[in-house]
Amino acid sequence: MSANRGKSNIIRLFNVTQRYGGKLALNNITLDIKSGEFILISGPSGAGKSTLLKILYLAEQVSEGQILIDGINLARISSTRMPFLRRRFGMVFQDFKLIPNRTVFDNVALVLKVAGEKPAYIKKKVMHVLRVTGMEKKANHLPPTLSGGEQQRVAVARAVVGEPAIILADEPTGSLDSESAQRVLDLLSGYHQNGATILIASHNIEQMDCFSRGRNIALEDGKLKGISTIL
Amino acid sequence: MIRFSSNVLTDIRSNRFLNIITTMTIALSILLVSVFMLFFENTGRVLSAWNQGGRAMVYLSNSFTPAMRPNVKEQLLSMGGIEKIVFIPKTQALERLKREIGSKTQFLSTLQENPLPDAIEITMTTHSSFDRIQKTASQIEALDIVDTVEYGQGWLGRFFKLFNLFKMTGYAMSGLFLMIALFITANTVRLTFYARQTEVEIMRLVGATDGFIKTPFYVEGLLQGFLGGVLGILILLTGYLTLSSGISQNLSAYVYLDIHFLSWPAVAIILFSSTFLGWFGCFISLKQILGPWK
Repeated sequence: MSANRGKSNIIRLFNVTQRYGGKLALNNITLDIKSGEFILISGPSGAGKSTLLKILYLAEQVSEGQILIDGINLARISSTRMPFLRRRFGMVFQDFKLIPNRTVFDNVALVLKVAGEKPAYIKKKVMHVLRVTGMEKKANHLPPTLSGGEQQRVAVARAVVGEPAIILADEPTGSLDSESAQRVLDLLSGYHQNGATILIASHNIEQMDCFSRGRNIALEDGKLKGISTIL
Repeated sequence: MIRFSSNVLTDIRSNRFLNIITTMTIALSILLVSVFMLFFENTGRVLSAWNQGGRAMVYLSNSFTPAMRPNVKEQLLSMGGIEKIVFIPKTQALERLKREIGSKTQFLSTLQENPLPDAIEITMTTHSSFDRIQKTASQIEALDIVDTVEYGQGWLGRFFKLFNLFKMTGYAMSGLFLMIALFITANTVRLTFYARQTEVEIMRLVGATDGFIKTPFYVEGLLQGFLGGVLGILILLTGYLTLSSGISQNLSAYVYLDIHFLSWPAVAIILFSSTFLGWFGCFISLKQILGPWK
Protein backbone atom coordinates (compact mmCIF):
# COMPACT_ATOMS: atom_id res chain seq x y z
CA MET A 1 0.00 0.00 0.00
CA SER A 2 1.20 3.58 -0.72
CA ALA A 3 3.25 5.22 1.98
CA ASN A 4 2.67 8.69 0.49
CA ARG A 5 -0.94 8.97 1.46
CA GLY A 6 -2.51 12.20 0.21
CA LYS A 7 0.79 13.54 -1.04
CA SER A 8 1.01 12.67 -4.76
CA ASN A 9 -1.42 12.28 -7.64
CA ILE A 10 -1.75 8.60 -8.40
CA ILE A 11 -4.34 9.07 -11.15
CA ARG A 12 -4.50 12.05 -13.49
CA LEU A 13 -6.98 12.55 -16.30
CA PHE A 14 -6.53 15.28 -18.90
CA ASN A 15 -9.45 16.10 -21.22
CA VAL A 16 -10.52 12.50 -21.42
CA THR A 17 -13.32 11.75 -23.89
CA GLN A 18 -14.73 8.34 -24.66
CA ARG A 19 -16.87 7.72 -27.72
CA TYR A 20 -18.89 4.69 -28.72
CA GLY A 21 -19.78 5.35 -32.31
CA GLY A 22 -21.43 8.75 -32.30
CA LYS A 23 -22.32 8.68 -28.59
CA LEU A 24 -20.16 10.42 -25.98
CA ALA A 25 -19.86 8.24 -22.88
CA LEU A 26 -17.34 10.63 -21.28
CA ASN A 27 -16.95 14.22 -22.29
CA ASN A 28 -13.77 16.14 -21.57
CA ILE A 29 -13.03 14.88 -18.06
CA THR A 30 -10.06 16.39 -16.24
CA LEU A 31 -9.40 15.02 -12.80
CA ASP A 32 -6.65 14.39 -10.26
CA ILE A 33 -6.82 11.69 -7.60
CA LYS A 34 -4.30 11.58 -4.80
CA SER A 35 -2.70 8.47 -3.42
CA GLY A 36 -4.71 7.03 -0.53
CA GLU A 37 -7.90 8.93 -1.37
CA PHE A 38 -11.39 7.54 -1.30
CA ILE A 39 -13.36 8.61 -4.39
CA LEU A 40 -17.04 7.97 -4.90
CA ILE A 41 -18.07 8.29 -8.55
CA SER A 42 -21.77 8.95 -8.50
CA GLY A 43 -24.45 9.65 -11.04
CA PRO A 44 -27.54 8.14 -12.60
CA SER A 45 -27.44 5.17 -15.02
CA GLY A 46 -25.63 6.11 -18.21
CA ALA A 47 -23.69 8.91 -16.53
CA GLY A 48 -20.37 7.29 -17.47
CA LYS A 49 -19.33 5.84 -14.10
CA SER A 50 -18.49 2.36 -15.39
CA THR A 51 -16.85 3.80 -18.52
CA LEU A 52 -14.51 5.87 -16.39
CA LEU A 53 -13.45 2.82 -14.40
CA LYS A 54 -13.03 0.72 -17.58
CA ILE A 55 -10.58 3.14 -19.13
CA LEU A 56 -8.65 3.33 -15.86
CA TYR A 57 -8.13 -0.43 -15.63
CA LEU A 58 -7.32 -0.62 -19.34
CA ALA A 59 -10.39 -2.58 -20.34
CA GLU A 60 -10.85 -0.04 -23.14
CA GLN A 61 -8.69 2.35 -25.06
CA VAL A 62 -9.53 6.01 -24.50
CA SER A 63 -10.79 7.92 -27.56
CA GLU A 64 -9.24 11.27 -26.65
CA GLY A 65 -7.20 12.76 -23.85
CA GLN A 66 -4.47 11.48 -21.63
CA ILE A 67 -4.40 9.35 -18.52
CA LEU A 68 -1.48 9.00 -16.15
CA ILE A 69 -1.43 6.16 -13.65
CA ASP A 70 1.33 6.58 -11.09
CA GLY A 71 3.21 8.70 -13.62
CA ILE A 72 2.75 6.22 -16.50
CA ASN A 73 1.07 7.66 -19.60
CA LEU A 74 -1.42 5.07 -20.83
CA ALA A 75 -1.18 6.36 -24.41
CA ARG A 76 2.50 5.45 -24.53
CA ILE A 77 2.31 2.08 -22.86
CA SER A 78 3.20 -0.92 -25.01
CA SER A 79 0.96 -3.97 -25.20
CA THR A 80 3.58 -6.07 -23.43
CA ARG A 81 3.63 -3.70 -20.43
CA MET A 82 -0.15 -3.49 -20.10
CA PRO A 83 -0.55 -6.64 -17.96
CA PHE A 84 1.99 -5.29 -15.48
CA LEU A 85 0.12 -2.01 -15.17
CA ARG A 86 -3.17 -3.87 -14.66
CA ARG A 87 -1.58 -5.58 -11.65
CA ARG A 88 -1.48 -2.22 -9.89
CA PHE A 89 -5.27 -2.37 -9.71
CA GLY A 90 -7.63 -4.53 -7.75
CA MET A 91 -11.09 -4.70 -9.27
CA VAL A 92 -14.49 -5.49 -7.82
CA PHE A 93 -17.49 -5.77 -10.15
CA GLN A 94 -21.22 -5.79 -9.70
CA ASP A 95 -21.40 -9.24 -11.34
CA PHE A 96 -18.41 -10.50 -9.28
CA LYS A 97 -16.56 -11.94 -12.34
CA LEU A 98 -15.40 -15.11 -10.64
CA ILE A 99 -14.34 -18.15 -12.66
CA PRO A 100 -17.20 -20.56 -12.00
CA ASN A 101 -15.31 -23.84 -12.39
CA ARG A 102 -12.37 -22.83 -10.17
CA THR A 103 -12.53 -22.91 -6.37
CA VAL A 104 -12.62 -19.82 -4.19
CA PHE A 105 -8.96 -20.40 -3.40
CA ASP A 106 -8.00 -20.68 -7.08
CA ASN A 107 -9.97 -17.57 -7.99
CA VAL A 108 -8.16 -15.48 -5.40
CA ALA A 109 -4.80 -17.16 -6.07
CA LEU A 110 -5.01 -16.31 -9.79
CA VAL A 111 -3.77 -12.78 -9.10
CA LEU A 112 -0.60 -14.09 -7.48
CA LYS A 113 -0.12 -16.90 -10.02
CA VAL A 114 -0.08 -14.47 -12.95
CA ALA A 115 2.51 -12.46 -11.02
CA GLY A 116 4.67 -15.57 -10.84
CA GLU A 117 4.65 -15.94 -7.05
CA LYS A 118 5.73 -19.18 -5.40
CA PRO A 119 3.07 -21.68 -4.25
CA ALA A 120 3.93 -21.39 -0.54
CA TYR A 121 3.63 -17.60 -0.62
CA ILE A 122 0.39 -17.82 -2.60
CA LYS A 123 -1.15 -20.17 -0.05
CA LYS A 124 -0.17 -17.95 2.87
CA LYS A 125 -1.45 -14.73 1.28
CA VAL A 126 -4.68 -16.21 -0.06
CA MET A 127 -5.63 -17.83 3.23
CA HIS A 128 -4.90 -14.54 5.00
CA VAL A 129 -7.24 -12.48 2.81
CA LEU A 130 -9.90 -15.21 2.92
CA ARG A 131 -9.68 -15.05 6.72
CA VAL A 132 -10.03 -11.25 6.66
CA THR A 133 -13.04 -11.46 4.35
CA GLY A 134 -14.58 -14.29 6.36
CA MET A 135 -14.38 -16.81 3.51
CA GLU A 136 -11.67 -19.09 4.88
CA LYS A 137 -14.00 -22.02 5.44
CA LYS A 138 -15.27 -21.85 1.86
CA ALA A 139 -11.85 -21.96 0.21
CA ASN A 140 -12.63 -25.20 -1.64
CA HIS A 141 -16.11 -24.22 -2.71
CA LEU A 142 -17.06 -23.26 -6.25
CA PRO A 143 -18.51 -19.76 -6.74
CA PRO A 144 -21.95 -20.88 -7.98
CA THR A 145 -22.48 -22.60 -4.61
CA LEU A 146 -22.03 -19.30 -2.74
CA SER A 147 -24.52 -16.53 -2.04
CA GLY A 148 -24.17 -13.14 -3.73
CA GLY A 149 -22.67 -11.58 -0.65
CA GLU A 150 -20.17 -14.40 -0.28
CA GLN A 151 -19.17 -14.18 -3.94
CA GLN A 152 -18.58 -10.47 -3.62
CA ARG A 153 -16.41 -11.03 -0.54
CA VAL A 154 -14.36 -13.48 -2.61
CA ALA A 155 -14.12 -10.80 -5.30
CA VAL A 156 -12.88 -8.33 -2.69
CA ALA A 157 -10.35 -10.91 -1.50
CA ARG A 158 -9.11 -11.29 -5.07
CA ALA A 159 -8.95 -7.52 -5.48
CA VAL A 160 -6.75 -7.02 -2.41
CA VAL A 161 -4.58 -10.15 -2.30
CA GLY A 162 -1.95 -8.59 -4.57
CA GLU A 163 -1.78 -5.49 -2.33
CA PRO A 164 -2.59 -3.13 -5.18
CA ALA A 165 -2.14 0.59 -4.81
CA ILE A 166 -5.54 1.28 -6.36
CA ILE A 167 -8.83 -0.57 -5.82
CA LEU A 168 -11.63 0.07 -8.29
CA ALA A 169 -15.13 -1.10 -7.51
CA ASP A 170 -17.94 -0.82 -10.05
CA GLU A 171 -21.29 -0.97 -8.24
CA PRO A 172 -19.89 -3.53 -5.78
CA THR A 173 -23.10 -3.66 -3.78
CA GLY A 174 -25.52 -3.44 -6.72
CA SER A 175 -26.75 -7.01 -6.48
CA LEU A 176 -26.47 -7.49 -2.71
CA ASP A 177 -28.84 -7.18 0.22
CA SER A 178 -28.12 -4.35 2.63
CA GLU A 179 -26.33 -6.49 5.22
CA SER A 180 -24.00 -8.09 2.66
CA ALA A 181 -23.48 -4.71 1.01
CA GLN A 182 -22.41 -3.14 4.28
CA ARG A 183 -20.04 -6.02 4.98
CA VAL A 184 -18.35 -5.57 1.59
CA LEU A 185 -18.04 -1.82 2.04
CA ASP A 186 -16.61 -2.28 5.53
CA LEU A 187 -13.92 -4.53 4.03
CA LEU A 188 -13.06 -1.93 1.41
CA SER A 189 -13.05 0.76 4.06
CA GLY A 190 -10.57 -1.30 6.05
CA TYR A 191 -8.18 -1.41 3.10
CA HIS A 192 -8.62 2.31 2.58
CA GLN A 193 -7.56 2.92 6.14
CA ASN A 194 -4.45 0.86 5.38
CA GLY A 195 -3.53 3.34 2.63
CA ALA A 196 -5.13 2.04 -0.55
CA THR A 197 -6.61 4.45 -3.06
CA ILE A 198 -10.25 3.42 -3.50
CA LEU A 199 -12.58 4.44 -6.33
CA ILE A 200 -16.15 3.22 -6.06
CA ALA A 201 -18.73 3.82 -8.77
CA SER A 202 -22.16 3.76 -7.21
CA HIS A 203 -25.48 5.55 -7.35
CA ASN A 204 -26.03 4.85 -3.63
CA ILE A 205 -24.25 7.60 -1.69
CA GLU A 206 -25.89 6.73 1.61
CA GLN A 207 -24.05 3.42 1.88
CA MET A 208 -20.66 5.18 1.91
CA ASP A 209 -20.85 6.31 5.53
CA CYS A 210 -18.21 3.78 6.52
CA PHE A 211 -15.60 5.81 4.66
CA SER A 212 -14.33 8.53 6.98
CA ARG A 213 -13.48 11.06 4.33
CA GLY A 214 -13.09 11.38 0.60
CA ARG A 215 -14.54 13.07 -2.44
CA ASN A 216 -17.68 12.58 -4.43
CA ILE A 217 -17.22 13.04 -8.18
CA ALA A 218 -20.63 13.45 -9.75
CA LEU A 219 -21.09 12.60 -13.40
CA GLU A 220 -24.05 13.28 -15.63
CA ASP A 221 -24.30 12.43 -19.33
CA GLY A 222 -20.56 11.81 -19.42
CA LYS A 223 -19.68 15.25 -18.02
CA LEU A 224 -18.20 16.22 -14.70
CA LYS A 225 -21.12 17.74 -12.85
CA GLY A 226 -19.35 18.51 -9.62
CA ILE A 227 -16.82 17.48 -6.99
CA SER A 228 -17.68 17.60 -3.32
CA THR A 229 -16.02 16.48 -0.12
CA ILE A 230 -17.41 13.55 1.82
CA LEU A 231 -17.10 14.12 5.58
CA MET B 1 4.94 -25.64 -17.98
CA ILE B 2 4.46 -27.79 -14.89
CA ARG B 3 2.32 -25.20 -13.11
CA PHE B 4 -0.11 -25.16 -16.01
CA SER B 5 -0.50 -28.93 -16.17
CA SER B 6 -3.18 -29.35 -13.49
CA ASN B 7 -5.26 -26.52 -14.98
CA VAL B 8 -4.78 -27.95 -18.48
CA LEU B 9 -6.12 -31.33 -17.37
CA THR B 10 -9.09 -29.59 -15.71
CA ASP B 11 -9.77 -27.64 -18.91
CA ILE B 12 -9.46 -30.76 -21.09
CA ARG B 13 -11.99 -32.53 -18.88
CA SER B 14 -14.43 -29.63 -19.01
CA ASN B 15 -14.20 -29.45 -22.84
CA ARG B 16 -14.02 -33.17 -23.33
CA PHE B 17 -16.20 -33.37 -26.44
CA LEU B 18 -14.33 -30.69 -28.37
CA ASN B 19 -10.99 -32.19 -27.45
CA ILE B 20 -12.06 -35.66 -28.55
CA ILE B 21 -13.29 -34.32 -31.90
CA THR B 22 -10.01 -32.50 -32.53
CA THR B 23 -7.89 -35.48 -31.52
CA MET B 24 -9.92 -37.82 -33.75
CA THR B 25 -9.66 -35.40 -36.69
CA ILE B 26 -5.90 -35.27 -36.34
CA ALA B 27 -5.80 -39.06 -35.92
CA LEU B 28 -7.74 -39.65 -39.15
CA SER B 29 -5.62 -37.19 -41.10
CA ILE B 30 -2.44 -38.78 -39.79
CA LEU B 31 -3.84 -42.20 -40.62
CA LEU B 32 -4.43 -41.21 -44.25
CA VAL B 33 -0.99 -39.67 -44.56
CA SER B 34 0.57 -42.72 -42.90
CA VAL B 35 -1.20 -45.11 -45.31
CA PHE B 36 0.37 -43.24 -48.22
CA MET B 37 3.75 -43.24 -46.50
CA LEU B 38 3.49 -46.97 -45.83
CA PHE B 39 2.63 -47.65 -49.46
CA PHE B 40 5.43 -45.46 -50.79
CA GLU B 41 8.01 -46.85 -48.36
CA ASN B 42 7.24 -50.44 -49.34
CA THR B 43 6.86 -49.77 -53.05
CA GLY B 44 10.01 -47.72 -53.05
CA ARG B 45 11.86 -50.59 -51.43
CA VAL B 46 10.61 -53.07 -54.04
CA LEU B 47 11.50 -50.75 -56.91
CA SER B 48 14.88 -50.16 -55.40
CA ALA B 49 15.44 -53.93 -55.31
CA TRP B 50 14.39 -54.18 -58.94
CA ASN B 51 16.82 -51.42 -59.82
CA GLN B 52 19.72 -53.18 -58.19
CA GLY B 53 21.84 -54.78 -60.86
CA GLY B 54 19.31 -53.73 -63.49
CA ARG B 55 19.95 -55.67 -66.66
CA ALA B 56 19.71 -54.95 -70.32
CA MET B 57 20.08 -57.15 -73.37
CA VAL B 58 21.96 -55.57 -76.27
CA TYR B 59 21.20 -57.28 -79.61
CA LEU B 60 24.01 -56.81 -82.09
CA SER B 61 23.66 -56.37 -85.82
CA ASN B 62 24.90 -58.85 -88.46
CA SER B 63 28.03 -56.74 -88.99
CA PHE B 64 29.35 -57.76 -85.58
CA THR B 65 32.32 -60.14 -85.52
CA PRO B 66 34.02 -61.75 -82.50
CA ALA B 67 37.15 -59.70 -83.26
CA MET B 68 35.20 -56.55 -82.34
CA ARG B 69 34.56 -57.77 -78.80
CA PRO B 70 37.42 -55.94 -77.00
CA ASN B 71 36.57 -52.68 -78.76
CA VAL B 72 32.85 -52.99 -77.99
CA LYS B 73 33.60 -53.83 -74.37
CA GLU B 74 35.80 -50.75 -74.05
CA GLN B 75 33.12 -48.55 -75.59
CA LEU B 76 30.44 -49.87 -73.24
CA LEU B 77 32.54 -49.53 -70.10
CA SER B 78 33.43 -45.95 -71.02
CA MET B 79 29.75 -45.00 -70.79
CA GLY B 80 29.83 -45.55 -67.01
CA GLY B 81 27.29 -47.24 -64.76
CA ILE B 82 27.96 -50.71 -66.19
CA GLU B 83 29.16 -53.29 -63.72
CA LYS B 84 29.31 -56.45 -65.83
CA ILE B 85 29.37 -57.35 -69.54
CA VAL B 86 28.67 -60.88 -70.79
CA PHE B 87 28.89 -61.71 -74.49
CA ILE B 88 26.34 -64.26 -75.66
CA PRO B 89 27.17 -65.62 -79.12
CA LYS B 90 24.23 -66.66 -81.27
CA THR B 91 25.06 -70.35 -80.87
CA GLN B 92 24.94 -70.04 -77.08
CA ALA B 93 21.71 -68.10 -77.36
CA LEU B 94 20.13 -70.88 -79.42
CA GLU B 95 21.17 -73.49 -76.84
CA ARG B 96 19.69 -71.34 -74.09
CA LEU B 97 16.44 -71.03 -76.04
CA LYS B 98 16.25 -74.81 -76.54
CA ARG B 99 16.67 -75.27 -72.79
CA GLU B 100 13.93 -72.75 -72.01
CA ILE B 101 11.46 -74.19 -74.53
CA GLY B 102 12.01 -77.67 -73.16
CA SER B 103 10.42 -80.57 -75.05
CA LYS B 104 9.05 -78.52 -77.93
CA THR B 105 12.33 -78.05 -79.79
CA GLN B 106 11.32 -79.95 -82.93
CA PHE B 107 10.44 -76.83 -84.87
CA LEU B 108 13.95 -75.47 -84.27
CA SER B 109 15.51 -78.37 -86.17
CA THR B 110 13.64 -77.24 -89.29
CA LEU B 111 15.50 -73.91 -89.29
CA GLN B 112 18.23 -73.73 -91.89
CA GLU B 113 20.22 -71.12 -90.05
CA ASN B 114 20.35 -69.66 -86.54
CA PRO B 115 17.97 -66.68 -86.52
CA LEU B 116 19.19 -65.35 -83.20
CA PRO B 117 21.66 -62.47 -83.14
CA ASP B 118 24.80 -62.14 -81.10
CA ALA B 119 24.00 -60.36 -77.89
CA ILE B 120 25.57 -58.73 -74.88
CA GLU B 121 24.01 -58.99 -71.41
CA ILE B 122 24.77 -55.88 -69.42
CA THR B 123 24.39 -55.59 -65.64
CA MET B 124 24.14 -52.01 -64.37
CA THR B 125 25.75 -50.94 -61.11
CA THR B 126 23.75 -51.22 -57.88
CA HIS B 127 21.23 -48.40 -57.20
CA SER B 128 21.15 -47.32 -60.81
CA SER B 129 17.94 -45.43 -61.29
CA PHE B 130 15.53 -46.23 -64.09
CA ASP B 131 16.47 -42.93 -65.73
CA ARG B 132 20.13 -43.91 -65.62
CA ILE B 133 19.40 -47.26 -67.27
CA GLN B 134 17.30 -45.49 -69.90
CA LYS B 135 20.07 -43.02 -70.67
CA THR B 136 22.73 -45.72 -70.96
CA ALA B 137 20.43 -47.80 -73.21
CA SER B 138 20.00 -44.80 -75.53
CA GLN B 139 23.77 -44.34 -75.72
CA ILE B 140 24.28 -48.04 -76.51
CA GLU B 141 21.54 -48.03 -79.14
CA ALA B 142 23.35 -45.21 -80.92
CA LEU B 143 26.34 -47.49 -81.61
CA ASP B 144 26.51 -48.76 -85.22
CA ILE B 145 26.88 -52.39 -84.31
CA VAL B 146 23.83 -52.41 -82.02
CA ASP B 147 20.42 -53.34 -83.33
CA THR B 148 18.21 -52.93 -80.30
CA VAL B 149 18.45 -52.71 -76.51
CA GLU B 150 15.84 -54.41 -74.31
CA TYR B 151 15.55 -53.43 -70.60
CA GLY B 152 11.87 -53.79 -69.88
CA GLN B 153 11.30 -50.20 -70.93
CA GLY B 154 7.77 -51.03 -71.95
CA TRP B 155 6.15 -52.15 -68.72
CA LEU B 156 8.84 -50.90 -66.30
CA GLY B 157 8.76 -47.41 -67.77
CA ARG B 158 4.97 -47.35 -67.53
CA PHE B 159 5.12 -48.61 -63.96
CA PHE B 160 7.58 -45.93 -62.88
CA LYS B 161 5.46 -43.22 -64.50
CA LEU B 162 2.36 -44.54 -62.78
CA PHE B 163 4.19 -44.80 -59.47
CA ASN B 164 5.42 -41.22 -59.70
CA LEU B 165 1.95 -40.00 -60.61
CA PHE B 166 0.49 -41.86 -57.66
CA LYS B 167 3.19 -40.45 -55.43
CA MET B 168 2.38 -36.87 -56.49
CA THR B 169 -1.32 -37.51 -55.97
CA GLY B 170 -0.53 -38.97 -52.56
CA TYR B 171 1.47 -35.90 -51.59
CA ALA B 172 -1.31 -33.60 -52.77
CA MET B 173 -4.00 -35.51 -50.91
CA SER B 174 -1.87 -35.75 -47.77
CA GLY B 175 -1.31 -32.02 -47.89
CA LEU B 176 -5.03 -31.47 -48.33
CA PHE B 177 -5.99 -33.68 -45.39
CA LEU B 178 -3.40 -32.04 -43.17
CA MET B 179 -4.79 -28.61 -44.11
CA ILE B 180 -8.29 -29.80 -43.24
CA ALA B 181 -7.04 -31.09 -39.88
CA LEU B 182 -5.28 -27.76 -39.28
CA PHE B 183 -8.45 -25.75 -39.93
CA ILE B 184 -10.57 -28.00 -37.76
CA THR B 185 -8.00 -27.75 -34.95
CA ALA B 186 -7.92 -23.96 -35.27
CA ASN B 187 -11.70 -23.84 -35.19
CA THR B 188 -11.89 -26.08 -32.14
CA VAL B 189 -9.43 -23.84 -30.33
CA ARG B 190 -11.60 -20.88 -31.24
CA LEU B 191 -14.68 -22.62 -29.85
CA THR B 192 -12.81 -23.62 -26.70
CA PHE B 193 -11.59 -20.08 -26.30
CA TYR B 194 -15.08 -18.64 -26.62
CA ALA B 195 -16.34 -21.23 -24.15
CA ARG B 196 -13.71 -19.92 -21.72
CA GLN B 197 -13.98 -16.28 -22.67
CA THR B 198 -15.09 -15.21 -19.21
CA GLU B 199 -12.10 -16.90 -17.68
CA VAL B 200 -9.73 -15.32 -20.20
CA GLU B 201 -11.30 -11.90 -19.60
CA ILE B 202 -10.79 -12.25 -15.87
CA MET B 203 -7.20 -13.40 -16.38
CA ARG B 204 -6.56 -10.30 -18.45
CA LEU B 205 -8.13 -8.06 -15.81
CA VAL B 206 -5.87 -9.39 -13.07
CA GLY B 207 -2.80 -8.77 -15.21
CA ALA B 208 -2.12 -12.07 -16.96
CA THR B 209 0.29 -11.76 -19.85
CA ASP B 210 -0.52 -13.17 -23.28
CA GLY B 211 1.92 -15.99 -22.60
CA PHE B 212 0.12 -16.93 -19.37
CA ILE B 213 -3.22 -17.01 -21.15
CA LYS B 214 -2.04 -18.79 -24.28
CA THR B 215 0.23 -21.43 -22.74
CA PRO B 216 -2.57 -23.73 -21.49
CA PHE B 217 -4.13 -23.63 -24.97
CA TYR B 218 -0.78 -24.47 -26.55
CA VAL B 219 -0.28 -27.35 -24.15
CA GLU B 220 -3.73 -28.64 -25.03
CA GLY B 221 -2.93 -28.32 -28.73
CA LEU B 222 0.35 -30.20 -28.33
CA LEU B 223 -1.42 -32.97 -26.40
CA GLN B 224 -4.20 -33.22 -28.97
CA GLY B 225 -1.67 -33.37 -31.80
CA PHE B 226 0.50 -35.98 -30.11
CA LEU B 227 -2.40 -38.18 -29.04
CA GLY B 228 -3.93 -37.85 -32.51
CA GLY B 229 -0.65 -38.98 -34.05
CA VAL B 230 -0.32 -41.93 -31.68
CA LEU B 231 -3.91 -42.96 -32.33
CA GLY B 232 -3.48 -42.70 -36.11
CA ILE B 233 -0.35 -44.84 -36.03
CA LEU B 234 -1.99 -47.42 -33.75
CA ILE B 235 -4.95 -47.73 -36.13
CA LEU B 236 -2.53 -48.14 -39.03
CA LEU B 237 -0.53 -50.75 -37.12
CA THR B 238 -3.68 -52.70 -36.33
CA GLY B 239 -4.68 -52.63 -39.99
CA TYR B 240 -1.20 -53.59 -41.08
CA LEU B 241 -1.00 -56.57 -38.72
CA THR B 242 -4.44 -57.76 -39.75
CA LEU B 243 -3.95 -57.39 -43.49
CA SER B 244 -0.27 -58.13 -44.03
CA SER B 245 -0.43 -61.75 -42.90
CA GLY B 246 -3.49 -62.32 -45.08
CA ILE B 247 -1.88 -60.75 -48.14
CA SER B 248 1.36 -62.72 -47.70
CA GLN B 249 -0.56 -65.99 -47.37
CA ASN B 250 -2.81 -65.41 -50.37
CA LEU B 251 -0.27 -63.95 -52.79
CA SER B 252 2.96 -65.71 -51.79
CA ALA B 253 2.32 -68.42 -54.43
CA TYR B 254 2.35 -65.78 -57.18
CA VAL B 255 4.77 -63.12 -56.04
CA TYR B 256 7.22 -62.56 -53.25
CA LEU B 257 5.93 -59.73 -51.05
CA ASP B 258 7.84 -58.47 -48.07
CA ILE B 259 5.69 -55.70 -46.55
CA HIS B 260 7.23 -53.77 -43.72
CA PHE B 261 5.58 -51.35 -41.30
CA LEU B 262 6.79 -47.76 -41.22
CA SER B 263 10.38 -47.28 -40.16
CA TRP B 264 11.13 -45.66 -36.80
CA PRO B 265 12.32 -42.42 -38.41
CA ALA B 266 9.03 -42.27 -40.36
CA VAL B 267 7.02 -42.83 -37.15
CA ALA B 268 9.03 -40.11 -35.40
CA ILE B 269 8.40 -37.70 -38.29
CA ILE B 270 4.67 -38.46 -38.20
CA LEU B 271 4.43 -37.92 -34.44
CA PHE B 272 6.41 -34.72 -34.65
CA SER B 273 4.23 -33.49 -37.51
CA SER B 274 0.98 -34.30 -35.73
CA THR B 275 2.18 -32.61 -32.53
CA PHE B 276 3.22 -29.57 -34.54
CA LEU B 277 -0.14 -29.61 -36.30
CA GLY B 278 -1.96 -29.47 -32.96
CA TRP B 279 0.17 -26.60 -31.75
CA PHE B 280 0.05 -24.68 -35.04
CA GLY B 281 -3.74 -24.86 -35.15
CA CYS B 282 -3.75 -23.21 -31.71
CA PHE B 283 -1.23 -20.63 -32.75
CA ILE B 284 -3.07 -19.35 -35.81
CA SER B 285 -6.38 -19.32 -33.96
CA LEU B 286 -5.14 -17.45 -30.88
CA LYS B 287 -3.24 -14.97 -33.01
CA GLN B 288 -6.54 -13.89 -34.54
CA ILE B 289 -8.64 -13.75 -31.41
CA LEU B 290 -6.23 -12.37 -28.80
CA GLY B 291 -4.83 -8.87 -28.75
CA PRO B 292 -3.92 -6.26 -26.13
CA TRP B 293 -7.41 -4.74 -26.10
CA LYS B 294 -9.31 -7.98 -26.66
